[in-house]
Amino acid sequence: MHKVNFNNLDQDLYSFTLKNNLKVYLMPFKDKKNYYAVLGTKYGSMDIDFTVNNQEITSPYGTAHFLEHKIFEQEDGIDPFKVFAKSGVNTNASTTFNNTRYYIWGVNDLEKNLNFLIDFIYSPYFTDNNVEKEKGIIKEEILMYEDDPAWKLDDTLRKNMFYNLPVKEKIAGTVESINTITKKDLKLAYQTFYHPSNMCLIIGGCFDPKKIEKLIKNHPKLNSFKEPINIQRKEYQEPDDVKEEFQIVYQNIKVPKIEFGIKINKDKFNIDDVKLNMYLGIILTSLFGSTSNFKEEVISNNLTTGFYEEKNNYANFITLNITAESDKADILIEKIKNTFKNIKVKKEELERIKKVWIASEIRMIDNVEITVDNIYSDLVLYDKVYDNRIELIKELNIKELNKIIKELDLSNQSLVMILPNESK
Amino acid sequence: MKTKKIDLKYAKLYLIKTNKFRSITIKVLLKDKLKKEDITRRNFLIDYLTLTSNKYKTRQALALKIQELYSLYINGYDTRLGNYLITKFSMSLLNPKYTEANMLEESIDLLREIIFNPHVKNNKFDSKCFEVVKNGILNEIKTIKENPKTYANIKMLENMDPNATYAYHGYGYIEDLEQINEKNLYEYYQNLLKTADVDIYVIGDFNQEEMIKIIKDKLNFQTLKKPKEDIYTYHDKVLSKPKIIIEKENNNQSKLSIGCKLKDLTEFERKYVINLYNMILGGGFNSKFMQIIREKNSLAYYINSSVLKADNILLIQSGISKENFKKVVSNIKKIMKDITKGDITEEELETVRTEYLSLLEEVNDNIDSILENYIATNLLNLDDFSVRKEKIKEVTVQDIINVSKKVHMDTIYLLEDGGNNNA
Repeated sequence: MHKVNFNNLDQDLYSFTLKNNLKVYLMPFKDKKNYYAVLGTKYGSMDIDFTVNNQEITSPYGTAHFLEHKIFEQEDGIDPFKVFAKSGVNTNASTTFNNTRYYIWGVNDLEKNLNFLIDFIYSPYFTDNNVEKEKGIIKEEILMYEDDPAWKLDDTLRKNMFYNLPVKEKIAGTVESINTITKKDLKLAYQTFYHPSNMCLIIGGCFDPKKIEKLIKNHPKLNSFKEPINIQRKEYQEPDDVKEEFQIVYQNIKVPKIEFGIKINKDKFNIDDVKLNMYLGIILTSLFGSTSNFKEEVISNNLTTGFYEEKNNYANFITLNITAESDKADILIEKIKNTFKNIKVKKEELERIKKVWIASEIRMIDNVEITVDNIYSDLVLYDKVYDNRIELIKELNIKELNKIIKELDLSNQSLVMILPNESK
Repeated sequence: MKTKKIDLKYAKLYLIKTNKFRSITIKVLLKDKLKKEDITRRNFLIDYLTLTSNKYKTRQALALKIQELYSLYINGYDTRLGNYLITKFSMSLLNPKYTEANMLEESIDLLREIIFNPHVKNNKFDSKCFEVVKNGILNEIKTIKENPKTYANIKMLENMDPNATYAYHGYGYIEDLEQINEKNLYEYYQNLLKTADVDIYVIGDFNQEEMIKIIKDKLNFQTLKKPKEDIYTYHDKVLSKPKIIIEKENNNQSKLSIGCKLKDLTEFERKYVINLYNMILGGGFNSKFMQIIREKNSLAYYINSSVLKADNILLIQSGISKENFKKVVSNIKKIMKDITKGDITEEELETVRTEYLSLLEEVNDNIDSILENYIATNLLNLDDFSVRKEKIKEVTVQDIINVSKKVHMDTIYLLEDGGNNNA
């Protein structure tokens, strides 16, 4: 096992890789009684087209999410929720664009429950009947998100920003697309993407790392995969520009909402992905964060009651998004666009943001779940773990930042507005 | 972990010492009897106080100060708990071990500034900031309907009994908002500081003497003693058949919200049995509701129940298609009725008991959970952790069956979808 001192904060992080290429990270905490374990695969809603056994497959939208639901089905009829509950342990799962993860959290019997987590994920059971049964449940899940304006904005904006990348579709798919999903679709996706070489396992909390290492290395299910496999995903030709620049959607809401996005191709930058993400984070915080002039102006002039900025990674693209609620949307949008036109970050400001980020890295380590989730996100996004982010933050400098600002092409913009049905 | 309660005369100070965390959290609670018209002005007040202050006259200036103090977490919010309205100021700072020695005093000084030194001119709150806050509150009230799940709960509780404290939702009311101005809100603020019942809680690794000294120095309220109000609501009447209310909205999914009254619970039932009953019924993924309504019948993605302890209410919520309304409700009724007839096994009880104990353990791993649990224990007059761990073991299957007979379905509310299922 490889051992490092995480963020130089008196916190050990152990790691090893199995022969089948499963990456494992263990973080034992001194003062905790709980634990949190995540087993995830780099398979999400955007992995639609792939090749298996020389056969080109196109799966229905929503397959990854559907598969996540069905993984909980076991041949012997055992319900994983019930098994974990016997130790007072909880379990859940989630699917995003680029990954699906299964997790457990609790205080009792880590070894027994970890064993079972690995067991049930690596013993799927699909039947025509159990696939059919799930459609009613997922339909209700899709309808629930349809009524949420924040999801509606996000789904519509991605659909308009991308031509070919499957992130243009909703994670759960549509009621029509999930109705076409069969046992065969799930099997093919499972065989391809649930191989340990495409997965990682992270455990944080109260345990002895040596014991857990032994358990993982000796787990029969994991040992049944000898060799890593090579997954062939389709490479999409995605233009730099956006498909649609503007759309209005009408919904059952009372106050108009907007989401504005800028599409950026990451390949044009000659810098580490993690650093690029950090610098773009600095820029967004400087332009729109709590101490920005923009925020002061729009809040004090009642142009919005609330907004937030975020950054998303989709394959080799990053989007910078601003979501806001406003009944003066036209003025607000002009202000947002103008703010992006003239980016200047002063050295003192960069240093202040760095200080805030370092403080939050130190706080984060008090929380097992957040720490494990951050390690997991690193693995999904960068294929490696940045175990000393504080050092990385300290390295951020005004020279590199200005270079990125200079190279940034912010011309590919798209805007979605949701207006109340009454204003139609 | 060591706890200490100190009577400061004007407030009760609770100190929880633990060296397990890298931060220190301070919460100041202003409690008083809930009155409907107070909800909106109290929301207004807390938003106003946390937006700016006399020393930091713009939101931006305050935000800069917060960052200077190593990104303090500072906020304020109101909650209704039973018959109480509680305003909470919350501040969390990185332990000065990781920053600078004077950060403790400086951070608490900022909390003092926010609570005691608001942005005031000529005995009135500042008009510009006032308008910003008003706009925000107005927006919150206007957008309640945009969250159909919350909206269905509000409507259900209003239909249960429009005059009960549980029928008052926390977003505020337009008619009350219209009555608020810069002057009367400032007067309300001054009065609140004199009359509210104040609790101060501190958790983290600190020097006790130093902490008491700073708190006495910075957070010095001038409150008067007030008679105590019972936080709990009790129900004396129950319906033999529940009311059904159906309203339409142009949404994609219908929202079901059901309220049940808990009548004549013993102290033991209120503290323990009802928790386990709720966990078996609809408290998690493993509940009877999820097993039967979701997994067996594919009628919903989520269906859960929860207990509003201080209100003696059990709440059931689900998102469904309107054509399944009758089926879902009859399933819910049947599941509840079956429990009263004894459809519950020792194994089911053991599972939720283990879950309960596990949740109790997990609380100790999170600084905010410890504090919030400690506060709830005080406010609701619950037992402390060591007592709870023992008492929960005494709950039997028969206890669950007995308590299930005290759960009376009162109001079934459906926010019906528009049938446009256009996903």
